[in-house]
Amino acid sequence: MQLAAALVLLSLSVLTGLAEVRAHVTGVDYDDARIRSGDDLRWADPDWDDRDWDQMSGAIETGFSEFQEPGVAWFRFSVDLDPSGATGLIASAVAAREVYWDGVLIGAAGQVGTDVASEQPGPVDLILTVPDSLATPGVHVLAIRMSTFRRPADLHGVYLMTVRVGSLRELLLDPAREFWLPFVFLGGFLLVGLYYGALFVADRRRREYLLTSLLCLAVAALLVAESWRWLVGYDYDLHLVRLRIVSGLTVAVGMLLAATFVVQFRQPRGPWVLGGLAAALAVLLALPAEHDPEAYRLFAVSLLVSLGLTLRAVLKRLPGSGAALFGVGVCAAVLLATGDEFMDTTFFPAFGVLLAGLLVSLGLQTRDARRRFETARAEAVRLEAELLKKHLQPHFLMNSLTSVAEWIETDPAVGVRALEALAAELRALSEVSGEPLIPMARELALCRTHLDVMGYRRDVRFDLDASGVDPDGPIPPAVLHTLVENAVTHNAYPPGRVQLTLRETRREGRRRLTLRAPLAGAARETSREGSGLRYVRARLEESVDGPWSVRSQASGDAWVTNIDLPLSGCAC
Amino acid sequence: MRMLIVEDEVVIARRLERLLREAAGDEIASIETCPSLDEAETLLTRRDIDVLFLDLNLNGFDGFDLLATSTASPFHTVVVSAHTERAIEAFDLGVLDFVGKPFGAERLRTTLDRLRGARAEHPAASLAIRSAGCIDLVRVADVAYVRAAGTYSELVLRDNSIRLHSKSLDRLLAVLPATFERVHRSYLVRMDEVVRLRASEGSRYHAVLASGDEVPVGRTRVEAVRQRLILL
Repeated sequence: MQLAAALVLLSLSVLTGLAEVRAHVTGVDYDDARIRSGDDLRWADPDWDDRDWDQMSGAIETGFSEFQEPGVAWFRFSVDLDPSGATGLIASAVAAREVYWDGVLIGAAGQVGTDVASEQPGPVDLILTVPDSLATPGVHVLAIRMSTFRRPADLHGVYLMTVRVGSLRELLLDPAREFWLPFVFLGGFLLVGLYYGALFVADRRRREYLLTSLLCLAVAALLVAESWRWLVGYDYDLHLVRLRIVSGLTVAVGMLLAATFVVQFRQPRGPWVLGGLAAALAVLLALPAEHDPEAYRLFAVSLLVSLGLTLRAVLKRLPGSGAALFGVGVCAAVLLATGDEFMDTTFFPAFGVLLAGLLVSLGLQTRDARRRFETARAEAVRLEAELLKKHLQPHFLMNSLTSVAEWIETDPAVGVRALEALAAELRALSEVSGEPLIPMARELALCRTHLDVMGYRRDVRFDLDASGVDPDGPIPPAVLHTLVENAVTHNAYPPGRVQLTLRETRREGRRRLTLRAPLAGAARETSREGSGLRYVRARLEESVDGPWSVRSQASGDAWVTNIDLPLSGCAC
Repeated sequence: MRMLIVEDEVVIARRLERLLREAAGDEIASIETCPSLDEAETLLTRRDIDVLFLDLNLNGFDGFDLLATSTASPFHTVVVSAHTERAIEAFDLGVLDFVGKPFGAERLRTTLDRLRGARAEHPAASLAIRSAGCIDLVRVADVAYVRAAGTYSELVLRDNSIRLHSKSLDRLLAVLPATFERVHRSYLVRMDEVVRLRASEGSRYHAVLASGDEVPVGRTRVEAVRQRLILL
């Protein structure tokens, strides 16, 4: 536990520390920034009196809805350069724009136009070098002319303009600083995605492998979509497309994460959980909201659901649940600690921790499943051997053969039939012995071959009345057969007819099989709980999924055995 | 011969009876059949039964307890069992014969020969003795000689203690090792215990045992005992 806590703290401090990497760029003081609709090239003049323009008052990244309508606008502010000066400038906007430094046009993104036809969209991020002659220490005026005719109408709350001025080297290194760690994880996400995809192809029953694979690939795609702007760049009119791809991938990651845990931990109400999550994400997407907080909320809701799923798994003591909860918990803690910036900066490393937890969890689960499988297989082999051995044991086989010998000498026709009956029982036993479950019809046939053999041995005519028993109901092999065998062995029936009855009753999702065998002679009750009943219990334990019971007792003039089984719980 | 068959398999009991009657019908005074030893209890205390054909599921300890009860009785015990791998253990307890299932007429003829006086295929290692309601086992190696006591026998052990056995001298001889010989109408002696043969007046002979005990030797057996001593 202490180790886990230490790991959480370490992860948190590493991940939240990353948010500070961007401090190398000289910030621009927007407090005196002013903006105005309309177009006049004289507004580039640093001495132009803009005191009657709208004041931005620091809120440059939001608001100004009127400037988000298609049109042309100017944007002016001053920069106070320290003695180190400035060598670069990045002006980011969802608009075509021209940048004037003290009245000198130093660069443009696309071509500012007066309507859709005349405007040409340029890259979202316009990176410029500032000529040494202009970047002298002291106050400079920047004026940016922009047109937004191709700005998508439903681009909510995307900043109007972000300008960063400073060392060009620092400006260019900024995205690298932001993305180097996420890209370290990118390789991991891709490899794990491909690896689990291959595992799924090898074992199609493990759907959690497929989901883990898709989850990793979706996270990798999300990282590519997030970094595309800095790695490749695109014209501003495609900005919304990229944001929608990012939102879509965030939803996909959230859903896949929850689905992975639903499948991995066999959440019984999984479809409802996933349906509810999908509905919540749809509502969040439909609400008008800025992109970054929306992505944050989308992921936060998915993470909350995943936290619930893993917590339930831990409470149920499912194998591997602890590691999964650890990963999700660290990710959630980082999400809470970093707030809105989470999606930009710390998401990928945090998700790396989550994925590590998931992988450990899957590994533990696989190990556990393998152990259970091997135990079950060993048990099945043991039971099969026990069943076959019981009928190759001298007591059964040699007594049967001695009786057959007697019939052959005294009534050869009966002798041959007795021999055939013995062969039929041995054949039927070897056919069913390896199966975990067989239909009741086969089990009844097996019981009747045994009663035939015993009939020839005891000179008794045995009948098994099983009217009303579902012939398709599954049952472990030789369970009834063993009970029938016990009844016949432990009762000294006088020559004549002996009828055994089997009845099946169904109630409240359970079925009860009741076998009645008449008591006769000196039935030896002490030997009832012998190897026979042990075999019955072991078989039921192996093959029946859910509570079962076997009860055996004398009731009046009959020996009654009840087997209670779940109606649908058989591991068919 | 009076026979008792304890067998819960009707057809097998029928077979046993049929084959025995076919092989030795004129020697058999009666054959009774019973499904289990418990039910045969009253029959077992009767002294007029010569042989018990006992079906035992020897796959467990119960079977051997029952077997000891049977071999402690006056009659001979012949085990009829599917578990032929336990035959030696059954012989060790003093059964006259062990018939494996399935069996035929030929095998039962051997059994009948043994009943007529031949010795068991394997001698007993222990003799079961009924005493005060329970069964004791006496190691055959501890027995020095056996003395007739009416229809019973007295086992005289090397430590000179005496145990009473229900079987007659004849029936004990059939299951004892070949070193035991009948030296007198009323005596069986372990020949390797005999150190010399002492003659006294009136042509009466005694075998002197290592313990100093003396056992009378019948006139007709003297030569045989002497031959054994020479050979030893």
